[in-house]
Amino acid sequence: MSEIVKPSTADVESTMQKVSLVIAVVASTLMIAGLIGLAAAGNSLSLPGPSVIRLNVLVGLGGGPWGLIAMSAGIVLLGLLPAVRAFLAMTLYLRQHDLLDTVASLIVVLELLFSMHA
Amino acid sequence: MISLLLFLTGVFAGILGGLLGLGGGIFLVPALTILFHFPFEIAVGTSLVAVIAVSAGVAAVAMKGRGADVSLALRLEVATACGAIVGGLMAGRINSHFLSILFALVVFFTAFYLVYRARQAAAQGQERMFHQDYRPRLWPLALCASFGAGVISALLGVGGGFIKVPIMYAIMGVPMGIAAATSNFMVGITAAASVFVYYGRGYVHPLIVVPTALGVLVGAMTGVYLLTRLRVAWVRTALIGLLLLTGIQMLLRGLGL
Repeated sequence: MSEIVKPSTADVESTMQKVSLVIAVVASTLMIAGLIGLAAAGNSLSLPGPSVIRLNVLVGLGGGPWGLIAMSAGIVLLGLLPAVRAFLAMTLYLRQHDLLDTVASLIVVLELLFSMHA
Repeated sequence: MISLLLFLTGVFAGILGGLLGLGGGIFLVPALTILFHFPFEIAVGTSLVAVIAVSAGVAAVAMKGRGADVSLALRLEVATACGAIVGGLMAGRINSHFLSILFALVVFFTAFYLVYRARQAAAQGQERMFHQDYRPRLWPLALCASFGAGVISALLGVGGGFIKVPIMYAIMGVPMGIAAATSNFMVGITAAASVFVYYGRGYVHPLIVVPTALGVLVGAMTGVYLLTRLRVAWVRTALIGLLLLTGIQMLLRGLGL
């Protein structure tokens, strides 16, 4: 069974594969480091535990133990990955002068950004 | 100890997600509510992060030329992500018993969908899984159905692959292999559209999410590896039985029995 892929789709897939791998590794590292850091600092690990640090506080790198900050940052990074993939697709479609797909990608990116404020 | 159990639950959900092209939320939400007794909203928030992890894990290690139609995915995601935002905003305002019953119905639907997939797989002799000579049709109907899939996804913490594949395959005339691969790409975006709503409302707890998401990442990559070595039909049969049991449990929970 042959698997034929459109050239443009193959480009997008290849770039997204690399980006997905890098972001997944960085997000995992942050989450593991945060969990170890929280345990090492003697914080309670009983469940459900504290909620994530809010985005506006997280951007300012304040508001809690660094282990919790690292775990929250890892979760946010993982949550941003689909938006990054959509943004990458948008730039690739833009370069190929594919107007309809560029606009569709842009709308998806904007929807994902909007959901962060909803 | 519970963290280790969460990690193993994540690995299990990730393997099934990677093997069957599902987001994994369909197993995680019942596990987190029934086995670990976490509130429904926390289970959904955790599951949405896990669905993104499955999508990332599969994308990171998937074989080249899997056939995902990124263009089709993004066009449908315009409606699905919109539905997911609406669903996310509705979350927390709907009775958890009602959501349990809705979840049970979705689980039953998924089981029937897997039976349908098995029948399609058996008929593959006459049908090509991957080819490029297709032209997606019935866009208005597909976009409306995609919006509904987004709402359900956000409310129940599932990726919605079991809805997206039939939309693309049965409604739009996309080949089954491309529909499944495209769905894998889409579930991450759909989950991302509602995960930050749950994040902002404090339903994402790192001590639950981190071991689960790490397990799911490992599981999803393992699932892709096993895909070439296991008979998916066996896994699918076991999964159908598991889903029916889970659905019954969620239904009883929803009815307060």
